[in-house]
Amino acid sequence: MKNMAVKIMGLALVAAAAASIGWTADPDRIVVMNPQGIKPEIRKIPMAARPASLDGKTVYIVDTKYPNTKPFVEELHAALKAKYPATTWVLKDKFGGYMDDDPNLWKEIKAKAAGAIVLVGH
Amino acid sequence: MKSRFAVFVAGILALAAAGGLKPAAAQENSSTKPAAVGSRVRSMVELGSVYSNIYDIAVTVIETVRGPAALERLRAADRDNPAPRAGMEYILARVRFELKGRAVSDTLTFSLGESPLEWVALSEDLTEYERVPVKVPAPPLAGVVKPGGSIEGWVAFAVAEKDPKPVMVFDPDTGGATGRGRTLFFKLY
Amino acid sequence: MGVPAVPIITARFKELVTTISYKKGIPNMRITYTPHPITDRPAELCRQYIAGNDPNSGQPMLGQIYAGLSRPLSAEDGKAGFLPREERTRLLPPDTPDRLMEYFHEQGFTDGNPVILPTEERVAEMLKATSRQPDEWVGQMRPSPPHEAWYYTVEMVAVNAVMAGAKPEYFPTILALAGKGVTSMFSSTSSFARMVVVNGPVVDEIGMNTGIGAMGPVSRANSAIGRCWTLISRNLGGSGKPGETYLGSQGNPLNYNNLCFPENEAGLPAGWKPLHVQKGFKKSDSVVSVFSGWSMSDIAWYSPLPIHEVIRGWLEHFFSFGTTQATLVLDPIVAADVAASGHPTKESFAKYLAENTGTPGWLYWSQNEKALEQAKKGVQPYAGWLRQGEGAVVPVSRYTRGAAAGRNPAFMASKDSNETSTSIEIVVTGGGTNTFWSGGDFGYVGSASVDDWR
Repeated sequence: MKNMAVKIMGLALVAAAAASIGWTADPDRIVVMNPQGIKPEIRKIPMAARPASLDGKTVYIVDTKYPNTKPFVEELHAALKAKYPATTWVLKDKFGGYMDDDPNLWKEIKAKAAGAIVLVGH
Repeated sequence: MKSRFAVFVAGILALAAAGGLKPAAAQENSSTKPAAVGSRVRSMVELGSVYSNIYDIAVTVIETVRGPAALERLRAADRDNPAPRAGMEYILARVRFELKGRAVSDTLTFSLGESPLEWVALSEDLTEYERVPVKVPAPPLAGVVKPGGSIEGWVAFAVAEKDPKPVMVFDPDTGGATGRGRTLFFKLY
Repeated sequence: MGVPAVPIITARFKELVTTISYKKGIPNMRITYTPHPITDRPAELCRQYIAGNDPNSGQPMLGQIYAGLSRPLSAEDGKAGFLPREERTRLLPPDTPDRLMEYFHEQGFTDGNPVILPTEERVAEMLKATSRQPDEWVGQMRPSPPHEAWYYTVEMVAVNAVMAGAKPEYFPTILALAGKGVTSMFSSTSSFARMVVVNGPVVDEIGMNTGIGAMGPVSRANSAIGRCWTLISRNLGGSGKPGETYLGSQGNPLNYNNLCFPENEAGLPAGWKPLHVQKGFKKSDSVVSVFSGWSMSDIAWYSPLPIHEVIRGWLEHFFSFGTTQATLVLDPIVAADVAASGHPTKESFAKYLAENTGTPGWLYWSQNEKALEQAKKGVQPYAGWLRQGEGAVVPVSRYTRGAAAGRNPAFMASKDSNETSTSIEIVVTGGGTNTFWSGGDFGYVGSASVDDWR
């Protein structure tokens, strides 16, 4: 009985090892390598705490300047001012093209604003 | 019969160990496989704002100092460095950061220490610890690294006294064109 | 930044934005969607969109934006940490070759064509062609700047080289290309294309074709190396997934092979330097050079005008997304004719073209609103130009560096180039069966040494 158990365990180990080096029970099956690269770990960014109210606060509307979208941005600015007059809505163009970073603007927003809307593209 | 079978099994296992069970890559660094102190971790960063070039980096945690010894060094660096909050203690890590370009025309530099998210400590369950506003012993892990150069310096964290296995994260992808690359993990124990 | 922020995106990109925000670590980003598109919509229509509902949530747009900035966070939203990711295995589960091929197609590992299945034996054979270790880092690649980058080793590149049908001797060239970290399938609605030009001794060593059909499907080396770049971009760079990491509205057929060809250095006129020498390498170096653009036209045209004038005229009126850069691929006969007409170097010809091409009026005035305003106010020289008619060519070159005539996004600016005064690159290839040439809106991106990867 004990001998049988040992043999069964041995065979199971052999099967596992064989599979790991590409041998399979079915001779028609083969093992190939993974063509994909390594995906990065995703670091979670905590969202910024929201203020209890936006009344009396400033919110920046940042236009990333995707071509020919100014009418939408300007209409949004006007609509927010009309609907939420207790909040100051500041319309700002981001520096450069829509792919360019604008650290100075982010610093300004951090110093002066309680929130930011970033838009839009396409 | 028994012994021949055993030899057969052992042979298969040996083949498997040599062949199919080897690690996929030498630099398999991840949150579940942080690098040990003293281990030089090779990675890459992209430098440049639009069409960037790949530069090779290596990061090594050379030594760590924890608890009262760390506080002593921090106080020696600046006597106004505060004590850690109750239940917490400091860890200092001395880190070497190396940068290498791949082409002669690769002359961009990497700025260390500009983002508070660049070096962060995690607890054993991968929760981030808050940053600590302390002045570290000289030299700090900060400055501009040129291709072919390196910077070695200290960085400080506050971790729970009861946390036996805190991990340090290096995240070059902290925004903008400074240098974007893979997040790396290092044991602080 | 530490400041509450909400993005507004058009509804067509919901899939893109939700996957990117997850990969950026903000899985519950508070996004408001608008109807699509927004570009070129009149103010009145925009007003209606804004007064209406988010097409995704059905909620009033303005109220949703306001709530995004003011509604308290959940406990989860305020926490840091790491989001789960599937672990990469080195080997795939065993199966029959037919089922594996289907699996590769289903997973997006292919370019739609069959691949050579990458067994360990085949990959090991490929790895013999480089002195680099299998676990050495080669590069990192992302579909476009906002996307995450994936990372890859020599072994992973070898897997894709096998799939592309490359011979081992092509591998150092493929590694050099992979090491640039530039995706061949840039994620943009405008359907980018890429081009790769190979120079140096490696061209003959591995049997690349510089003659008849150099830019076509004639040579195994040209085909496999170019194709491999697409497989690398998909599998090692995360590119090419429609809606998520690839947005090309119509796609670009050039992505199949990425215009991979070698320069015909033997066919260069005396005094015309090979491309890699122009970029600072030695003639004896083996180099890959990468270009980015959208389209390439095959100009098969007979004219009583000298060929350099035909090229000049084409360049003046040529139009596509990349309006301020161009690459000419000249057959050796054409290059010889151009050189004989008084252009002892590529740079001389590029300068001549840049200085002697204007911009079609319709293009100039539509891209330079301030100039049009000035013209209408009578300010010179704009007024004089406009007096010729809105369709007349305006004497402003699109191809001198810093040209404002076109208006390309900053990300199209090429780097790594030598100090030239133009954005025109010239490459020579082909078999000399006729005085034909190709031209496209490609700009030079950068070069990499093949020798470093031998």
